[in-house]
Order: sequence, then C-alpha cells, then structure tokens
Amino acid sequence: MTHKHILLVEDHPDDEELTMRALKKNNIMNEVVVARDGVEALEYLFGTGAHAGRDMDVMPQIILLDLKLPKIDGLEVLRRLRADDRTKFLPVVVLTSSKEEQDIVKSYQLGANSYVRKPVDFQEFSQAVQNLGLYWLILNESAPERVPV
Amino acid sequence: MSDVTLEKDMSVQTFGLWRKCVRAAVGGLEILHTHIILVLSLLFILCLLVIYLHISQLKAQMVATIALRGADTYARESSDMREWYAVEAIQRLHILGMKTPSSQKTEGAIPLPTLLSSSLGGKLTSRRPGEQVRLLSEYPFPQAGDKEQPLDGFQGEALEFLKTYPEQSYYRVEQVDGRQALRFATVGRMQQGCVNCHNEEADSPKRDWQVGQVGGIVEIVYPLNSLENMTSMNWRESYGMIGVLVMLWSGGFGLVVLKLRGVSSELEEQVQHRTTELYESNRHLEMEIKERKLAEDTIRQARDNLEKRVQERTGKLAASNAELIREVAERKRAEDDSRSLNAQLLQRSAQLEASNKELEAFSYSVSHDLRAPLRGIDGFSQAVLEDYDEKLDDSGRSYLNRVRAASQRMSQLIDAMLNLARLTRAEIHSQTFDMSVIAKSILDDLQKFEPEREVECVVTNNLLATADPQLLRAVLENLLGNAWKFTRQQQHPRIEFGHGQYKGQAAFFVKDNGAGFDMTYAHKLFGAFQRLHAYTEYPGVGVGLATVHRIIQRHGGQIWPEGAVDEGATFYFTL
Repeated sequence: MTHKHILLVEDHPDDEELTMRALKKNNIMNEVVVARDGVEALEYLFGTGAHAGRDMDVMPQIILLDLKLPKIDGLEVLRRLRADDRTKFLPVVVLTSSKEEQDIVKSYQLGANSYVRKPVDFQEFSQAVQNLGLYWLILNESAPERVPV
Repeated sequence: MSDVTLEKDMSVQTFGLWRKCVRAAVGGLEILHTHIILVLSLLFILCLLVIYLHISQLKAQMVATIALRGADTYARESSDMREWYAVEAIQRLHILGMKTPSSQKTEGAIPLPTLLSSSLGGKLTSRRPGEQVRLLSEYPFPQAGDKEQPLDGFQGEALEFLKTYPEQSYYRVEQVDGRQALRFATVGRMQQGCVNCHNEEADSPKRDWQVGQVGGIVEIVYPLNSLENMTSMNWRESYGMIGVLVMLWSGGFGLVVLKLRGVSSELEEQVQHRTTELYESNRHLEMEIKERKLAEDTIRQARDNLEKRVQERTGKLAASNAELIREVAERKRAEDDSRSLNAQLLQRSAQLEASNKELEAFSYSVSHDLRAPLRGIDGFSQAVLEDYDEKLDDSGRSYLNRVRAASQRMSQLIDAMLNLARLTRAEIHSQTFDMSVIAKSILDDLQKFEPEREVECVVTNNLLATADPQLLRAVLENLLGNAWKFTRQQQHPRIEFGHGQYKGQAAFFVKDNGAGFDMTYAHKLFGAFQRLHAYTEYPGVGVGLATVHRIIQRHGGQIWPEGAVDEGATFYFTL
C-alpha cells in the first residue's frame, strides 16, 4: 500500500465502478481502498474490526466520501474522524448526488475540505474526478502524518 | 227601645243645654268686653245705692238704739228716784208724824211718789217737746190724778206683756201727737217704802202688796225727730265725704279710662300696624307658597319627565342588553368556532409540517436516489461508446447517445422539480428593494449569454417592491427568460418591464412581442411541467411559470397572463 492512496467510501457498485473508471481514464494510478458503508470506513481509518492490525502509519491521501451510506452515514463518519487526532487533518471531499443546501452546509460545518456534486453526465463526472485528483493528490500538501500532540 | 237609648237621648239633651249655656256665657262675656265702661258705671251706681240704703237703715237703727237707751236710763233713774223718795222722804215724814196725803187736794200734804215722779217728769220733759213720762197702775191711790185716763192700746199690751215677763222691757215706734216717737215701757216694782204705805193707807185699793211685786208700769214717750235732727248733721258730713270720694274715684276712673283709651288706641294702632305687617308677610308667604307650588309643580313635572326618560332608557338598555347577550352568545359561539378552527388549524399545521418533512425526505431521496441510476445509465452508455466503439455501427452509437441525452434531460427535470419544491418551502425575508435594477441585471446576463441577439429592452426605473429579493429575482429571471426565449423568432424583438393599471388594478408587468399563446390554454400556463410549445421549438422543462406562480402566491399577490398567438404575451403581477 503506497503512501498516497485514496479511500473511496461508496455503497453503490455502479458509482464505485464509474469512479474507478473515471480515475483510470484520467491516469490516476494511486491505490484506491473502497469502504462500502460508514462502519467499514471508520474501521479502516481507526484500524479496528475487519481492519484491526492495519498499519496505522499509513493514512489515505484523500477520502472521497458519499453521504448516503448504510449503517453510519457520511456526515457521522466525517464528525468522528474530525474528532480523532489521528484523522482530524485528513482531506475529505464529499462526493455525492445531493445538491441539498442543508447537506452542503452541514458538511462544511463538520470540517469537509470540499463538496462536489456527482454530475449525471459521465464526461462531466470524469472531468470533476480529474480535477480532484490533480488538486488533492498532486497540488495539495497534506498535513504531517504524525501530528504532535 | 232600651234604657241605653233613653240615657243617650238625655245626655244629648243635657249636652245641648250645656252648649247653649256656654254660648250665652260667651255672648255675655263679649258684651261685657265691648261695654266694659258702661257696665262698670252701672255697678258703681248700684254700689252707691246699696251703701245709701244701708246707711239709711243704719241711721234709723241708731236713732232707735239711742232713744231706747235714753228711755231705759230715764225709766231706771225715775224708779230709783221714787224708791228713794218713798224710803228716805216719806218714811221720815211718817216718823215725824206727818201724814201722807192720799189726795192732791189735801192742803199741805206732800205729794205721792207717783205724782212726784209724774210731775217731775213733766217738768223735766217740758224742755224737750214731745217727751212724756207716765206711771200706770191697776190699783192706783184715789188721790192719784191720772186714774181717770184709760189705758191706750200700747199701754194695755205693755202691761199684759210685762206682767208675764217682768224682767224685760216693751217698746215700739209709733205716731204720738203727730210726730214719730219711741214708746218704752218697763215695770215698777213694789219697794219696802211702797209696801208700807200701800198696805197701811185706808184708801189703798189693795193691801196685800209684797216687796218686789209688780206695782205698775212706767211709760216713756221719746220723740225721734229731735234725735234725727241731731244725727242728720253727722250724716250730711258723711254723705259729703262720700260724695267727695265718689268724685275723686270718678275722676280717677275717668283718667284711667282715658289712659286706657290712649293705651288701647296705641295698642289698636300697633295691632293695625302689626296686622298690616302680618298681612304683608302673609301676602309674601302666599306668594312664596305660590312660587313654591310652582317650583314643586316644575320639579314634579321634571321628575315625571325624568322617570319617563329613565323608563325609556331602561327599556332601551334592556333591549341593548338583550342584544348584547345575544352578541355575547354569538361571540362565544364564534370564539368556540374559532377555537375549534384554531385546533383544526394547529392539527392541519402539524400535518402540514409532517408532510413538509415527508416532502423534504422525498426531495432528498429524489435528489440523491433518482440521479444515481441516471448517472449509471449515462456513465455506462459512455463506457460502451468508448470501449466498444469498433463493435458498434452508427445506429448503435446514435441510440446510445439518445440514451445519454434522455438521462441528462431527466436529470434536468429532477433538478427543476427540486428547485420548485425548495422555493415552496423557503422562508420569505421581505425587504424593500428596486426591482428595476434586478430586471436590468437579468437582461444584461441574457444578453451576455447570447451576444449575437438584438433585443429592445425597456425597463421603467425605480420600481420599488417589498418582498423577498431572492425569490423576486427568480420570478423576474423566469419571466424575462421566457420573454427572451419566445422572441427568438421575432425580427424586432422587444421586452418591457414596467408598472401600470390593469382593469383598475396597479400591477407590475413583463411584456414581449414574441410567440404569444392561445388564451384558451391560459389556465394551463402555471401548471408544473405544462408546455404550450414544442420542446424542439422552445426548449424548457415547463416549471418556470409554475415556480413564478408559487412565489407570487406565497407573497399574497396575484399573477395573470394576457396574450394571443404571434402577438406576444404580457404577464401582470401584484405583490
């Protein structure tokens, strides 16, 4: 697992496939870890449950977070990882179908770094993914992985 | 008829009599009161008369008493003198041997006591005319000169009376020798000297005399006229004094009467004055009473009026009270109605809130879940087109492109629907702003978007409105956007935003000279997803006017269209 991997939190297989395709088409070759619900995402991030014993020094470069998720929804996941010192500086891009104002506002309130609405047009979607990759994986400088307490 | 009635009759009679008496007394008192001086004078004269009579009687009595005393004294003295003569003179003469001549005719004889007494009496009374002294006996000596004269009436009665009552005297007043005189008689008792002679003398007619026996009577005639003459002097003085007193009294009485007359006239004057005053005050009082009565009448009338008015007012009040009660009942009912309505409203509001929440959940779901499959359709169609290009012919590619276009159009519809829903729910934040400025900025944007188009845009300046600026911007975007869109085929397109009167109502309007519409379908204009033109001719999802309608409605305003096919359209709205 490389250092600059992506955590994709997405429950819908179509969207997962389309996201992977868009990444591939835009030559973003970073490893993608997929969590299919909120619980799995949190287990991965905090090295618990199915991901117990995971190397906690390795954290995703970017988290693409859908909001509507089974078990624990995206906003709750965001709240928990912002509450934890290990994950509070991880860049989180909310990538969702919703254009609801309340979702946008809440996401930013909980500390999302960006909010992107998934376009229906795949070409537009592909474009958005390319921009995200360019920005978050290349241009953006992440916070140090070990944050002094 | 009972006794009671009888008694009653009697008592009535008595009462009538009593009343008559009282009336008479009152009348008498009245006369007395009016003729007091006359009455007093009469009384005075009566008194004088009584006094005169009384004095006359007193005078007669006095004369009689004096005469009686004088006669009595004379009789006693005469008796004493005879006894003394009989004892002292005759006895001594007897002792000396001298005989007592039994007759007057005897020479040198000394007189008998009786004769002495008679002659002495005659001598003594000769100076007093009418006065006489006589000695009378049943058995006189023959020498006694008087025996031939018989006894008169008085003398006989006196002798008879004195024989029975020798201790008393007998008298009466009668005419003697033509003059009024007292005739007095008393007894002459036999003394020792008398008895000696009368029992011894030879010619004595009676010789058994005892000492103390009644020998005869002594009569004294006492004329009263001299006495009356003597006393009348005193009486004249008395009458004179009385007359003086009477005159003095009369003078005093006259003065008193005069004084009383003066007092009375003064009193009368005062009474008259007082009467006049009383009359005056009476008149005043009468006038006052009249005025009072008048005032009382006025007051009574006023009171009656007041009472009437009070009654009227009470009636009115009662009526209005009844009305009030009715009104209160109505109010109460209305209140109850309004309360129940309120409850219903609250319930409806709760329902509405619930359905709003549901709608929100639905919207969220739509925005999220309906788009995901569309993305899949579009995304995988694209993937087929890209990855299997060599296996597809032109027709296959065309179909896949149509699939993609349809999915994208559906995405637009979903977005439009969500937008409409959001506008319906959004809160209204009203403020006053210039709509003209917003309209100009929208038209500028449209111009920038299609710079090649030449459209005449007329916007009235300073059109102020009080509404939610964001929502009103959406209204103008839709209306001006439509106008922009539907004038596309017009050679000289013209768009106007202004304010004016429409059928007497002030309204804003957006007017164009574009495609217009058939008024027959005007009612369909504001329905969601309703279209009057072909999509290919004028693309659009058909929610613009529905959105506008909803916003105007939420501001409490109205919107109505006017137009004809190929003659342009005008949308009027109020806020």
